Amino acid sequence: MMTIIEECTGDCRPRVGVYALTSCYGCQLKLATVQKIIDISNMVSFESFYMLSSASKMAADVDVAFVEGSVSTERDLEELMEIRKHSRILVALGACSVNGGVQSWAEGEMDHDALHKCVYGDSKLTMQGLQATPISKHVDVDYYLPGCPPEEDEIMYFISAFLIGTFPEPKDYPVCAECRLAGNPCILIERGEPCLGPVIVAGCKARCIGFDVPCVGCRGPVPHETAWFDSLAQTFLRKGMTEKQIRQRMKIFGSHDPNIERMLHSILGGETE
Amino acid sequence: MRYVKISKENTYKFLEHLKATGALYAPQKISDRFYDFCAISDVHDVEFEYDRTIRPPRRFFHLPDEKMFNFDMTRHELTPVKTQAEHIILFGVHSCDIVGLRIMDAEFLDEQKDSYYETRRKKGIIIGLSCLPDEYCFCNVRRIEFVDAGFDLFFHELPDGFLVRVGTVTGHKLVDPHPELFEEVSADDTKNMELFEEKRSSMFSIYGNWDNLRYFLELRMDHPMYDRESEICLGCGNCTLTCPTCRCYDVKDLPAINQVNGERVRFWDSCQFRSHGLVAGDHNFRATKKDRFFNRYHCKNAYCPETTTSYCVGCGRCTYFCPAEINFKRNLMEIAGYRGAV
Amino acid sequence: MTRKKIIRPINVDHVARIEGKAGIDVTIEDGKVTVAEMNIFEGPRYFEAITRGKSLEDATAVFPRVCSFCAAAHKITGLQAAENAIGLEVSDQTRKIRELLYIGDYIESHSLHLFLLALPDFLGYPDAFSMAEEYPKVLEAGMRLKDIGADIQTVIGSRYIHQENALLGGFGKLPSKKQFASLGRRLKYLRNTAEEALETLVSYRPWPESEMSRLHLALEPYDGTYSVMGNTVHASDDTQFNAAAYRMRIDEFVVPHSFAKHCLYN
Repeated sequence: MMTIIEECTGDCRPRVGVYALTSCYGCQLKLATVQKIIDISNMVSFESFYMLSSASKMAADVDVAFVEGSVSTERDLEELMEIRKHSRILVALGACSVNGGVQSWAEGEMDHDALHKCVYGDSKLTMQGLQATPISKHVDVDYYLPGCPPEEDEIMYFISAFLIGTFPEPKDYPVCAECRLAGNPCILIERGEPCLGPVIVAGCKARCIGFDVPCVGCRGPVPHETAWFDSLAQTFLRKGMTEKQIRQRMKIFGSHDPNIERMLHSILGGETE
Repeated sequence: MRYVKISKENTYKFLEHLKATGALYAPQKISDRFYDFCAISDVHDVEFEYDRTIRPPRRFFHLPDEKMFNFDMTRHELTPVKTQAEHIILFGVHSCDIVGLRIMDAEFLDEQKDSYYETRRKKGIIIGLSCLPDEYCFCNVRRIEFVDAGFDLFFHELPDGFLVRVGTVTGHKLVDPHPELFEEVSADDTKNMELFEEKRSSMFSIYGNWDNLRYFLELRMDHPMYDRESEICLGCGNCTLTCPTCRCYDVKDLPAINQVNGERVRFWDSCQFRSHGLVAGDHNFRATKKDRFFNRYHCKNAYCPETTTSYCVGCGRCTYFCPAEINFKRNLMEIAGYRGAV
Repeated sequence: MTRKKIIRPINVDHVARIEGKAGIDVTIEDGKVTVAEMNIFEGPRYFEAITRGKSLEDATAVFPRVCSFCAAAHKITGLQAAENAIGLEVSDQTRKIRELLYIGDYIESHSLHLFLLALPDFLGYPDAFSMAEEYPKVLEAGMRLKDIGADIQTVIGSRYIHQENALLGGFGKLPSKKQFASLGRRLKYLRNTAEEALETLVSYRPWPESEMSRLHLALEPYDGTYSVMGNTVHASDDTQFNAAAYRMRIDEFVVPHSFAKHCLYN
């Protein structure tokens, strides 16, 4: 838990680092463009924020580090270790960091050599790429702030909670909950759309379904092992989707979920196990 | 009780008057299969023949998401949030939902007074509407298919308009200023109401009553249905969030970025979610999906002493809006051994 | 007498205020630059590989994730490619609304780059926050331009990073006329702000003329207006080709020091 530094001289603001591993930079961009970014920058001291500031350091000593991106290179891994060492609280920021991101879509399908060959052919690079993994595979993560990109109110909630010395409460219910409260018609029931709302963690206020677009799962599976891929796979089968369609769609943002393979296997068979 | 008649044409005029009295909400089609209580701008958009709304009417009095108060952490003060004072008029509420609101009243007014609910509820005007059941309905076995309280006016469909039961003083105050819209009920009208009720009774898929259901549920807690059906369950909460009598909520403090202010909010919760049964020390009263699934079956079928009904009003929403197509009615019948069409 | 060769390496380990991760290595030998390398060490995400064999709906949902600053561009390009592949013609309305979404992206990403990322360099600050006190006006103008670009994308595409409301063949739900009108009013109102801010931005610094030989490519607008969508690519050497001939005219090749490929035009 963060305690605000009690005895200090000079700048006593909590120190914050915003880092990226391999990602699209959308989480940082979202953080940088929240309406109250100037208020945030007055309340905390950004010790490292490469996307916005040339006065950045890898890694700075900070109270809270927000890390976006997956571990996709050896350098990512080295940097992540350094960040962990220099941070009191580490927050996984966004889909890549929390769940491995879309770059993990081919998990279990293609290994890193196959991916490399497909894009770079036989060319050798001086840097070593890795199969994309969420940061929790390598370091202890204190809090998870999901989303692709994360939502503004959740970013504000996390930072505000840290500022008063408490911790952010995680959500553990699916998009469906917010979708019903928003008054959207259910497009999964009505049209058999491949909506992942039942297994994806809430927080987006079911934005996409409000646009009549089925949930693609960008916020990642509901945590605490309460994403029931097996039940949803049964529902999807009944709606006429094929095994391949179901497996591929659920794995766009969920391929690193610890239960997904076992659950899909129990309903769809095939693949691993 | 007073009875009056209104023609279909005059009903639209009456709706116009209601619109001028407060915020008027009535059923509207929102997609191919679904309806919702919507704010009415054109009274001709009101759907008189609808099955069930995706959101239950309780949402107007117990908001899905509401700010309770603002707080100041340095002065240790809180500032209550003023709730709006406009009349909320719900037109077209079916009898199941009227009983649903009475159950909400029992919990939020009689049992433990909830000022947020009370303020809005006092401003609520409930206008009932007769309906014909579909295969999802089972209000009859819950013995609430014909309500005698909980509404200000109740509109019964006639071939050429509506027979209106006036239930409260508020109801009188809505009808009395407009003698030009209403007429006295004739013997023919009463006959037509009788025929409608007869037709309605014949359309239910099951008959009798389910008075002993809760005892069978208690006696058959290890029924294999729970295992079988909870495996299909998505744990998405649709059943409880669309339920007209579920009322669990969660409370959260949202601090402001200035380290001084903040607000406390509350929002609908569901027993189908993991954190619903989670308490200090990481203990969870309902740790598994089956525990949570089981909980709803028993909570809904408990007995509400104030309304002398079960908490389930037989509206069929939890089945109709279940993406996994879990059939609550059929599962209950299976446990109690009731016969009838599913 | 032998003179000792003077070799001076300059390494920028991590270039700040860009989208992505890159370093620069320059080696100067005897006053002459012998090595100038931009190392893109931003990790590979293998979009070309991971989308193989996937459904068009799923793949086009993933493409905007290539880049958050220009997500709409990747979304629309992916959709167009998919539609070309299956021979799906979209309506004029869809094309125009997509273009508007794209323009929103253009306004947003360019304002961000110019005012939030580049401007601190011109004025000698490490970041935009620290110049807020001294130069509030130009920063505010930049932010307002960024906001209108973001809002155009939010209204049409559902949000300004990773738009989901753009689908094969059209949109899930279209904005209302009222929403379009409101965006239109704001854009007109911002015109002066935009011109003024750009003038100010340009005046902060003498812009050096680059003498390096270089080649620019641009799309010919499909409708003859100032647009960002089209099928014919024009090069600054007066050649042109159809976008479908991309692989014949542009050679992608791998350089060992970068995860990003380099290209040659032929």
